[in-house]
Amino acid sequence: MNPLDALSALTQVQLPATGVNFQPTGPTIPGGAISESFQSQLQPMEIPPIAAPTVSVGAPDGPATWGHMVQQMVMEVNSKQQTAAQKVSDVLQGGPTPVHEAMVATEEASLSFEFLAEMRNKVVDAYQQVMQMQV
Amino acid sequence: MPSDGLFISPTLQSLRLTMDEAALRQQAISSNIANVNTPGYQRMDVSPAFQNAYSEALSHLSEGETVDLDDMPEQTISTAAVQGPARPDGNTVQIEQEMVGMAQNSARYEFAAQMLASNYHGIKYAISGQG
Amino acid sequence: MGMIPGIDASSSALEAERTRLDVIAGNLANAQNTSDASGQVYRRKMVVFESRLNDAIEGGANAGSQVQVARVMDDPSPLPKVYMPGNPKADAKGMVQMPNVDPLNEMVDMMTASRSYQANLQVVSTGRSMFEQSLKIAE
Repeated sequence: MNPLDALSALTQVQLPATGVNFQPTGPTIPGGAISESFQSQLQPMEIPPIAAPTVSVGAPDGPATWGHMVQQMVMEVNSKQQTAAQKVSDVLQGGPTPVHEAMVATEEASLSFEFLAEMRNKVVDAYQQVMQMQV
Repeated sequence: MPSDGLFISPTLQSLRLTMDEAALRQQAISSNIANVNTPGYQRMDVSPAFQNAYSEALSHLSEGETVDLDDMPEQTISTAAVQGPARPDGNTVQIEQEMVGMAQNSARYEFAAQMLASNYHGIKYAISGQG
Repeated sequence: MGMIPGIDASSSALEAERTRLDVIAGNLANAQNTSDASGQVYRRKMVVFESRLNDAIEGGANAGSQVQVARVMDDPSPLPKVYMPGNPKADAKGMVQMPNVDPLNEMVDMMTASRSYQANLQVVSTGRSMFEQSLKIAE
């Protein structure tokens, strides 16, 4: 997935106008929990998975959902940051890691995190758009 | 893994491999120049195993395929072949060649670093529209 | 590997060449010395370099070579005799044993050592520049 695909993937995060069913299964969606009354007023409908070429995540026995994907990404970003921190520490201690490897790891961790944050922003924006809709 | 796709591209991989190889060579050159007056010292270079794997990987990458970076052999340097005879004390280092080689090598390394930086800037811009 | 690739080898070489220059300076200073601390004629000193593999722990998988001065030894070549009848150390025929120091030889050695020293400085500087460029990867 090259950068331009990522951009198009982000713009495809849209909630169907007829209804939405948030099912946060991992980290909480920022913006607070959805009130019960709101949820009951809407017709339940699955959020379609993002049409990104490399996505192959999901529960073993179900379709890929947004919550699963976010959870996976958070764990992955976390592990990237840990790798980067460990490599930097190795460089500082004079170990065998080359400097450029630590730099690459740091930059990739930082970019992954930004990617995750940006996706969260898009979801929050979309949610807020829905909240502003006249019912 | 979803966001790994950001970074698995032939360009990025070839740049990273180039930096690995150039850093190794710099070690070898440094060792050679340090030992230019040591009797019997044989000049060193990047080990053939890594050198061959690197050339092969680059040719794959230049055709647009990605490679598995974890598959590369260990990064080592070893005694290298020399053109021309050794000096009377057995030393095979030719300092002019080493100095020129060092200039070329460091230029490659710095070029790769610069290109990596600008690639990452591009990815950053695609993600957030800034930077 | 350390932050600057190959810096261990270069710094060892700088030290070794400096030792060699010190020894050369000593030779030149004592080129006419017929009586050193122990009353003997001064003998030319020379350094013997040898390479030493980087510690496996320091250098990781990379075994570059450092260099070190193995020993400083006396030059075993014969001492020349010069005709100096007035010298207190002259023997029966008026010949005095002089140090086996040839200033021209020492100058050539000094130039070699100095050139090597400068080359190693260049290596350190290049390595440093490479390191600084690699910092740009993460802005």
